[in-house]
Amino acid sequence: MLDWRQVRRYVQEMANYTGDRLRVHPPTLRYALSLLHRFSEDLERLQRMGQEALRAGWRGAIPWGEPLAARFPLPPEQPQAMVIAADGSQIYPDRHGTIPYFVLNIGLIEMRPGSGAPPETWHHLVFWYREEELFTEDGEMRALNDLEAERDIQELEQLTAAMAQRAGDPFGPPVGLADGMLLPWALARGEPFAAVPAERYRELFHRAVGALEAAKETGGAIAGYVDRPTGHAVLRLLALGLLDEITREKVADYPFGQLRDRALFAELLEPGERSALFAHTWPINDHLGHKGHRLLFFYLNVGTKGRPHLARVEIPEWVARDQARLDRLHRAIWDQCQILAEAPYPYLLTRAHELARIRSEERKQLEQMIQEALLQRGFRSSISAKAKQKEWLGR
Amino acid sequence: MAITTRARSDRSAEPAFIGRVIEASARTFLVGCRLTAEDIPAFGSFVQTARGETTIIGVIYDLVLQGDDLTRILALQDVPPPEIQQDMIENRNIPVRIGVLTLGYMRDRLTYYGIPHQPPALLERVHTCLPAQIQRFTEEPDFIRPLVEAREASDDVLAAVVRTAAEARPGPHQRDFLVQVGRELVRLLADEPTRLGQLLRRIRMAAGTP
Repeated sequence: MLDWRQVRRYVQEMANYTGDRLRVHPPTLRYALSLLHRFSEDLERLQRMGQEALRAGWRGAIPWGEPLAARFPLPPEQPQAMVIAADGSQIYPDRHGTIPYFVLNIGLIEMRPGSGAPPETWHHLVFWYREEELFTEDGEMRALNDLEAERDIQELEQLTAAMAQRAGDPFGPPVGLADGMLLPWALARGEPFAAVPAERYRELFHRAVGALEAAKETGGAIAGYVDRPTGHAVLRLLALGLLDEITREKVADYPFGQLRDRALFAELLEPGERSALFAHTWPINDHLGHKGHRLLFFYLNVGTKGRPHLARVEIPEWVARDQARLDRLHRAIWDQCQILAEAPYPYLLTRAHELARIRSEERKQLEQMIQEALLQRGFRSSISAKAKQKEWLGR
Repeated sequence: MAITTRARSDRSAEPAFIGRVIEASARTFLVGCRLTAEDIPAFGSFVQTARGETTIIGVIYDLVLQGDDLTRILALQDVPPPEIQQDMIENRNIPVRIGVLTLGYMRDRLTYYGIPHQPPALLERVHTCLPAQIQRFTEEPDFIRPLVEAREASDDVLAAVVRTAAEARPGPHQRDFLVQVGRELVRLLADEPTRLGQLLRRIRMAAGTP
């Protein structure tokens, strides 16, 4: 139980701190916006500086070739764009439970807008309980970030497999939407920080490339949709543009206080418009680039006049290079967000999440089912003493 | 190990699981569940639950489809796209609250009409009844009395219950059953000729008999 006297003090402090952080300083925003326009056509210089700064430890966004302050209007309505979305949730192995197991539930939904037909839904269930599935070679249970990476990569694989099934469908090429980043977070962080063995990292990379290749073959488009992005990669690029020389100290400097990319592009973009394309500076992106799948991103205002709502959309480079695919994706995301216009977010991602979610009563039911199955086979399994204590105390 | 399954309703011949008891009194109980609109049982359907060795039989007299945040946001649109409306009907598990009127119970192969000794336990599972169970439970017309006396259930529910019970029987026996029910209603509602007349009309309409 919480000591509410202490909690109350921290909550007050937190509210003060958060208030200061969230208050965007108007002069800073105007300054950043002026730099976005000033450096808008300075692409070659910024690309050159970006490459040099990377060696000095800088991380930010590299312009992909479109003017930084460019605004791309909402493409006209696309006839027949099938949309597929995927999301996943999991039950992590509990070493205090009856027996350890890992459940991954991926919810998928496919909609044919304008057809009048109900969307199709399905589940992909992964159930790991074998020694070799749950434990590493040195006998330790697999780390949570390893299992998270498995969830992320399976989401991507299932999404692209669903797209592949619809390749050549008379309704039109599919648009695949993933919740959050397109790439597993462990991969994006880079091998030294992924906290998974090198061999596992390489396996994840090959699986990601395989999935993206499958998506490309469908003739459709795929994207990771990041709601309320907190990044400041573009602002870091603007800060870089101000430097007269690249040093480790200077590239670490961030002159925009609490300002984030989202606030900058909320000021620039009208509803429906997307920003210029940028490339991530993750080390893995070069490797992906060699395979033809460099990841780019743009910001998209899915809000309304006076109430901007910014999302970051991550796409492979082959989507960006094909205007038809890019337009279909841009329009599909907008249309999806309009379905839930009060809280703009792609409808199908909301539904995929709902399908994937494992509710607490379902967890209990599964645990009961496992205990019964073990009992029928003559095994009286029990939870650990620690878990029992927690149960008695109502967790 | 991994398995992929497409969403489809279970149409097996087993009693279908509806939900669990969330509130119970001597005469009625509430069932909480999440169902697609297609799978929501109809008014007048027979359901069963348990209290120890006793199987409690009741009929659905009320259904509340509880809108959630997603439903409310979608409702703000002038015209939600037809695909979304279909998604709500065919795919989404909507929170549903079902009101059940207890008609009787079965224990040791015997059928008793009226309220059981105890209401069903909270969180007890509730299933639909199979036609054979309905036929057995409604063999005697005594199941009618709780329905006639219940404040909760309207005469529309009574008519729906009679229709469901008739449909659980093979064709030639349906008419006999309806005549038997009609006689019981005449006996029970001798002092209420207006209500009796309306009820018999409703049953005729519900059962599709002239």
